[in-house]
Amino acid sequence: MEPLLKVQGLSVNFSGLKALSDVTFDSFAGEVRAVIGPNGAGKTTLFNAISGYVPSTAGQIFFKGEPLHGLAPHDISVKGVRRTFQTGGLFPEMSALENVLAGLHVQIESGFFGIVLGLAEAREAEREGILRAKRLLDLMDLGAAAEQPVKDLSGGQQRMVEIVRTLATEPPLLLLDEPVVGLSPPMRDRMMDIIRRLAGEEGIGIMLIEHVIDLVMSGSDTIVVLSSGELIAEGTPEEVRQNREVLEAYLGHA
Amino acid sequence: MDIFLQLTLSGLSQGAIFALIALSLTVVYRATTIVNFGHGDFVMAGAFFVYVLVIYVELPYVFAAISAVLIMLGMGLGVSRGFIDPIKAGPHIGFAMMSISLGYVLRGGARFLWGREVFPMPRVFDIEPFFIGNLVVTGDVLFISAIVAVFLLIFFFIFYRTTTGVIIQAVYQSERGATLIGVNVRAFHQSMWGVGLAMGALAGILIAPISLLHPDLGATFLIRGFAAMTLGGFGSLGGAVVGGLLLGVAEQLFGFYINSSLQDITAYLIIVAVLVIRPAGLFGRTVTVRV
Repeated sequence: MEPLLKVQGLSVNFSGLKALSDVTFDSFAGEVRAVIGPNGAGKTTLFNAISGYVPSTAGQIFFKGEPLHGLAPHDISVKGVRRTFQTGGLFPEMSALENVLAGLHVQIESGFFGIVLGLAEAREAEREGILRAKRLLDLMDLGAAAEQPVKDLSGGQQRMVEIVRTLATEPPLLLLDEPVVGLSPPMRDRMMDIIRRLAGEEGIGIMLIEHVIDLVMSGSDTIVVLSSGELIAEGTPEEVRQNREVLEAYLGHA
Repeated sequence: MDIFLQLTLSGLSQGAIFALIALSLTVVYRATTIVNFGHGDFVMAGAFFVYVLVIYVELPYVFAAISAVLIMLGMGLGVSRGFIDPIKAGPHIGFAMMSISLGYVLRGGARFLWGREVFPMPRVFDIEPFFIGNLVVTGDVLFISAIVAVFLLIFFFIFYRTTTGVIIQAVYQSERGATLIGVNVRAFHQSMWGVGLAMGALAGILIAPISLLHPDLGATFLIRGFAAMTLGGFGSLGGAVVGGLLLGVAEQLFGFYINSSLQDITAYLIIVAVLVIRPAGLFGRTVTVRV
């Protein structure tokens, strides 16, 4: 199968410090791929490099065969590689629904003139967008909160709104930075369930950074383990669990 | 009573100009958090371009005005790209220094080309003053009020009723979020500079026939723009408009009923009073910290 994302020899240096060195892996459509590793291993840096927020020092990134390295974050987003941040990605004064719709508007290419002139496709796209947004918000138990400004929602709800906003655009590849942190255990399971369904049913490629190891083991197809900026293991949860290097990285020298 | 209404009417038409200037400052401020201290001079430059195009190039007035607005739009893009982007990583005070300096360069350029002369701007539509009851309505008042009213309607319609407006509001609230959904924030800043300067130019074009045209035209309007913003609530779009209209009326009333020398310092008095009594202004928004 042709990989959705190819990361080849990716290195990122911050003034001499090696945040990532020579990381190579492929990611596929319909796959949930977890990125784990101790603090400072380079997980967020990896996401930042793929999504264009930090420049790579060496290496290449291809999405559907097209190079992403060197592109600006908004261009990468438009190409369909969408990410979430842990905080600060929402529009605080807007309601949950408006946040989701704002995300869709950028996608609706007919844009301003389409809406002003009342072009049929633009209206249709708008209507479909609203329906899809409402369905996703309901799915996340946010139906009742949909009309409130997101700054009044809890941290966990805000996180879900951001993920819904990302999902509503139906991106081929999603990068989720700790999507379940701050959620209650039942919501956490629900979120993981939704993530699995998106990958399984919609064929979206999902990469996620996660610290809760049971969730990673039960919820992902493939795990990439980073330690001190290097990829030390890659494989199914079972393979990674038995990997000696991984145990050392997590538990200190065995 | 008649005199009060008459003063209010002319105050409103003056205030419409202040509103436009305050709004144009706010558009740039909200998008970029930069207060353009040189804005008055860009307002002046817009009016000067019209003068040049009408007198020397002999363009019809309406074309000259549209051209001048477009020139200032381009200038806004250029200023943002050429002078603001390169210093973006620097301290915030750099923006203030830059905008003040660019303003003085424009003012100095105008003085260099035209000296300190004062030019009568050609009248646009010569309409005989007419009466509504006992109120005298001059052509200027009608013209300015109508243009500004139409402009504001379009502006607020775009802002609150179109997808473009939604995206603009989104960027105002979180640049990170805007980038996430695929908005080119850098290009957005540039276009907001363009829109801001174009709106300022429109204000200059409308006021020049009344106030006469001279290189120092901008200074008096900058402070009125600030006063309108402060009164309405710094950063509030609707507040900028209301603040501008109130300031225009206040100037007329203070000047007539108290002392004519008060007219010119009304703007300063309002800034001082508002900051002491109600710093957030009429429609002040609580400052959101950008993370």
